[in-house]
Amino acid sequence: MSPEYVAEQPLSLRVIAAALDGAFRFGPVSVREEALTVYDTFDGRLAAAGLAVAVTGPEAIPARARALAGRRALLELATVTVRTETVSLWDDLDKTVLRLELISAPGLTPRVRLHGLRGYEAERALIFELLALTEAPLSLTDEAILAAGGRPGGVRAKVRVSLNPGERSDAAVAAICLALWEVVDANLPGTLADTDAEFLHDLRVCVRKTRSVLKELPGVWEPGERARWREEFRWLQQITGESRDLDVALEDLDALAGLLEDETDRRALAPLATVIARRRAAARRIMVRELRGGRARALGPAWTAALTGLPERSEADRPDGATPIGRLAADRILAVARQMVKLGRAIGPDSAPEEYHTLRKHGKELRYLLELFGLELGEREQIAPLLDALKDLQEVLGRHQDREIQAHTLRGMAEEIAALPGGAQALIALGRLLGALAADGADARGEFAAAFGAFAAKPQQAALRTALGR
Amino acid sequence: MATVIATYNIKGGVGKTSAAVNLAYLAARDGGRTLLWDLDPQAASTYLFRIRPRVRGGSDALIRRRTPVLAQIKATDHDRLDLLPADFSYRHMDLALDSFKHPTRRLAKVLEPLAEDYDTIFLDCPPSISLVSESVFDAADVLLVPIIPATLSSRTFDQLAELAGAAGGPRVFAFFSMVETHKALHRRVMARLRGVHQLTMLGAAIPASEDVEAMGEERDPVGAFAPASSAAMAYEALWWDLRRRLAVPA
Repeated sequence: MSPEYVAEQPLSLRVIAAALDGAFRFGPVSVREEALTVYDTFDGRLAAAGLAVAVTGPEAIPARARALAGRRALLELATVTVRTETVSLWDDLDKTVLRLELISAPGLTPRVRLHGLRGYEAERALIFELLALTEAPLSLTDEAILAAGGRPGGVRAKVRVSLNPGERSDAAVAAICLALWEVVDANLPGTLADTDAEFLHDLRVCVRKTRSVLKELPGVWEPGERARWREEFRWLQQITGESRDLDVALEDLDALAGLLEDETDRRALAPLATVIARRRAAARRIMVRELRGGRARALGPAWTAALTGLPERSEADRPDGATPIGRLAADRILAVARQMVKLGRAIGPDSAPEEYHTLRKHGKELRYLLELFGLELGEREQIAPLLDALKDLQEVLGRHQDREIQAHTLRGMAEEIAALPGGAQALIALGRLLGALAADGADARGEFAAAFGAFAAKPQQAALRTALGR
Repeated sequence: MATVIATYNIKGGVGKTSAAVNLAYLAARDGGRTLLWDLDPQAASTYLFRIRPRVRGGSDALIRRRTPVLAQIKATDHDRLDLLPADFSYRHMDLALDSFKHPTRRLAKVLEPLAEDYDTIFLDCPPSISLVSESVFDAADVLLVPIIPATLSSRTFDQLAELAGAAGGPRVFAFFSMVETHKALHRRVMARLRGVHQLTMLGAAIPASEDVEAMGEERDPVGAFAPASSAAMAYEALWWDLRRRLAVPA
């Protein structure tokens, strides 16, 4: 899509003709007016891919946009009536030197697109100058989204808050937690409405990150306050947990069935989907009731008020409140990384599953610390490779643990599955699936040494220290 | 790789420019990236597309490749159709060509950088036999010869086919131009030539028409301002026939 330009004076054909001052004449003008709906996912996947979808209706959404959206629902973000006036600008021989599109919509800034012609670059530059054009700060679709109360670019769980290493830790922590809460709050309506499963996922990611900040940087808070908020977010995580687990179970069903070699076994698993869907609906009912309840509704206002007032509170019980965040975050990141290296080195082929699980929990803490603080405060290029190695390690640890959880969940459904039509065949297939899960979990265990080695390598850890100024 | 089609006849006023302009328009309309190089110092094609007849450095600089050919190209008002304009300096193109060791290969050299930018390149040639026309024979894949169905036409076509063919040059196709079907002579000559030159005589005939003459007034191809006219339909048929023939290897 060619860029959109605006001028200081609102553009219209009359304004453009006056600005051209006879240097170029208008050829015939064609006018098109259509009601367009802007679509994107809640997290702005289309916008991130540079694809602005403003079309006449859902049937006109291009296949590429649907593919990019993946599991996410394509939402109607705004509807605008767009008027496009296309005019050729002629020189003194009545030759077209440029085609101009004037795009306007009620309440939005009128803008132009210029389609230059080969060999008429000088004329284009002159027209640009005569109209005193500048690139539009917001595209028409973004402006339409804003006007409709939406957020151009979408709401992403990956929050980024610029930090200054010298700023007070409580101020930095408050800014990050406020940004995380904004995402939690924004994802709540989609979670309640079950628009798609990613609303709940993104909500929970930000809750987990908030819990990590509360856990890893204790000296920023008064102990009583910290305990209160840790409990509140633990509760929020807990009431949303089962719904999320069952979302994952439903999404992963095809992949799980893919672990089975026999097509008959794969088909026989159909009752499993029925049981998961049934349980998911029940879990959602409980979750929605809790999220609409008084405790959940009170949480947001109280939490944001506490965060806003945090830097002003007495520092008597908050030894790290005024500590520069650069120092505090680096200390914590390096401590968790050291702890992970120590824990990982103690893990061998015969270690208990709990040891892997403990390492994975530390890995999550480190990842969030790096993403929220490390990348903002340290040398991004040096931290990124360690973060990649950490993600690879987490993937291996996750698979190992997830397979155990999946097996446990499936076993818990056996009775219900057996009662359904086709239940006997489903149970036989389930037995084979449990075997396949155990094998895949064992494979993941076999991949642990390499993944951990890449993360714990001395140069990698040394680079982290350097990146954080140690 | 672009296919180069030259409209050529030793005689002037036989419909070369009209054919080049209209066929180039149709080639672009059908989705091909198309360039028309106006080689005639009268710059009639250039005029018909409302483009200023100005070549920076003149034909000499272009032939010597002192100015890049791409920088001289102008877009027409029609999508995918560009023009390499002529100006009056083209009357000295023979002299410029003559200073090269292999003058007849020169136009092909100038076109080399454009081979991937266009699907079809039309050359609108000046009348006469000269170094320019010999250079055209070398550069073109196809020589398209408009013939007015009069008594001397057959002889002109034979001479041309021999000249172009002798150099191992382009495929030669002829078509009837400025046809007045009410004239018995035109009908007789057409029947005879079609009999003799079955393989190289294209089926469509362009009528002598006011619509073709009006191109000078409208400054546009016939297909753009009178798409339902007999002339526009004749050019459609000619383009269709030529495309069909070019799809078949020589």
